[in-house]
Amino acid sequence: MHLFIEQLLNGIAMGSIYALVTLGLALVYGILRILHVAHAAIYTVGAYVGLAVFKFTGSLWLGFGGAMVFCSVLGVAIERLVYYPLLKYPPYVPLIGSIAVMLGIEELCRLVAGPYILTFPARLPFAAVHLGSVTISSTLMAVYAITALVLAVLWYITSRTEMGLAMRATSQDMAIADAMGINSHQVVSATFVLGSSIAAVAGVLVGIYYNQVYPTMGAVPAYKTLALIVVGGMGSVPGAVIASLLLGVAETLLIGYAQIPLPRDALAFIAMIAVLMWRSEGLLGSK
Amino acid sequence: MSEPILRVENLHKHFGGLKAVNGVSFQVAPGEILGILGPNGAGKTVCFNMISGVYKPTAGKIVFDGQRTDGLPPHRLAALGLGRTFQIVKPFASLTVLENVLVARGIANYGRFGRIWGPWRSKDQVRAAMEVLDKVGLADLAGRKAGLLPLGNLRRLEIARALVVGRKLILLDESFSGLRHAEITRLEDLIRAIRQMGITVLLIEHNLRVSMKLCDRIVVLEHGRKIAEGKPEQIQSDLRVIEAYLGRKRRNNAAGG
Repeated sequence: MHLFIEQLLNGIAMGSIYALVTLGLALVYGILRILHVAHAAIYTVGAYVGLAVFKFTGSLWLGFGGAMVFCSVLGVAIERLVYYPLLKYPPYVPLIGSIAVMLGIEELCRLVAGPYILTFPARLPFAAVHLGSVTISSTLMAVYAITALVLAVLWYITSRTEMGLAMRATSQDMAIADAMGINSHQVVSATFVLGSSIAAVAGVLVGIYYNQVYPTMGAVPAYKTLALIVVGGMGSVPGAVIASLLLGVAETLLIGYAQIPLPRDALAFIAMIAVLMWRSEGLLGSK
Repeated sequence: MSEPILRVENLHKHFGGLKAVNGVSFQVAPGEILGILGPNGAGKTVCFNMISGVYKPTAGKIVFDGQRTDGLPPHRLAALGLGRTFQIVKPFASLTVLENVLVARGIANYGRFGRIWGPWRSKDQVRAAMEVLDKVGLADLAGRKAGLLPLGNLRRLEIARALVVGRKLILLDESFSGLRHAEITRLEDLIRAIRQMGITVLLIEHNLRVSMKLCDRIVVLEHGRKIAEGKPEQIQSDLRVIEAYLGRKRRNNAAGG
């Protein structure tokens, strides 16, 4: 039982991190109907920038802030320079553009920071919590708290601000939103700012969680989050969060209990294929 | 004629070799209901799309409320007080009826990046939106998801949204098509009421009987050109219009019979 709870807690942390990366992808898909593969590269850049700012200033919070600002600029640059000009073509054209951007950024990270695994020697200032015999480590608490905060802020923005209303309107129909006086291009950019800064948070968090930052750290999350927005229901933000949490838990429990000699990522994809065979439209998607 | 609210001069829109709109000019006086008539493919909706900023004209000039507007993006035109509906109704299906109108209410803010992070569900906003819904007769459906409304109500919702944006001019693109007789009568009353509110109406209509009854003046397009303009009774007897609508043979029969 004890072990089970610890596995579960780890699984939720894993899922929270997946959720943070998947959110940006779901937001972008919802508004532009583009598979934003390069999102995972933004997450990698976030980890690097966070680490650099942390080393330079010694402040982890500045690290988070710097990563968020830098990634927002990068995200908007990708949207304006790559996606927007390609929107008039069939969806595979921006998708290929996105893959190219992702590889380009990965290589750039390798050139600038070197092909090594860097360590992220920061400690997250959260207290460990003891519940009976179970201990929730400070790192886990940090992941939970930060994810909860991000989700709360995102919920507030999308459901309580005019920006959120404009975003929901724009994601349904850009032409009508325009006719209603919404500058839809600005709304799209704002979506990229949101998604990219959340990816930056995820990058820094993962860097600290595993104490590793390296150029290809975005590769596996790229595939996984793509699958996750499909499992969640294309473009559904709540669906993406639920799918991410479920995947994190399922992955961890399968590794812990099922005696299947397959690596973690293989199990993750098997789980997702199973879900899609059962519900092809995704968990919260509509047919 | 007082200073026109909208002036279109020698408007052209070419798609490749296709001249969808080929030198159209007309004016709309404030407080007028002007109808644009014409067979399918005459260029009516293309004209609308240029006036509302969706398309940039290939050539020509559009002056709205004393300001040159051709080439401005749709959200800028909306901010100037031009509202429109679409031929195929497009509500924001997953939002409620009230939220659909509130989206349009945000217009004062959407133009500016910094001002749109405030809350939108303020009492004043909701009251103003409910007033508009009341005018179009949808107040009791305010909480419904827009995607669940039948066509007649969707057209009213579109008009409600257009009214919020269009303080000066609204463009109605075939708002009557697909409606039952009783709904048509109610919509005619609504459009007259809109004119009473001091808003100019420019409408595209297929239904001849409706446009003859409703419009002060009518402009007839065919193959991207204006072939007639005048009061409904003048249009009704214009030979070129009859030809465009009914074909040459029918006219000959009518003349002979």
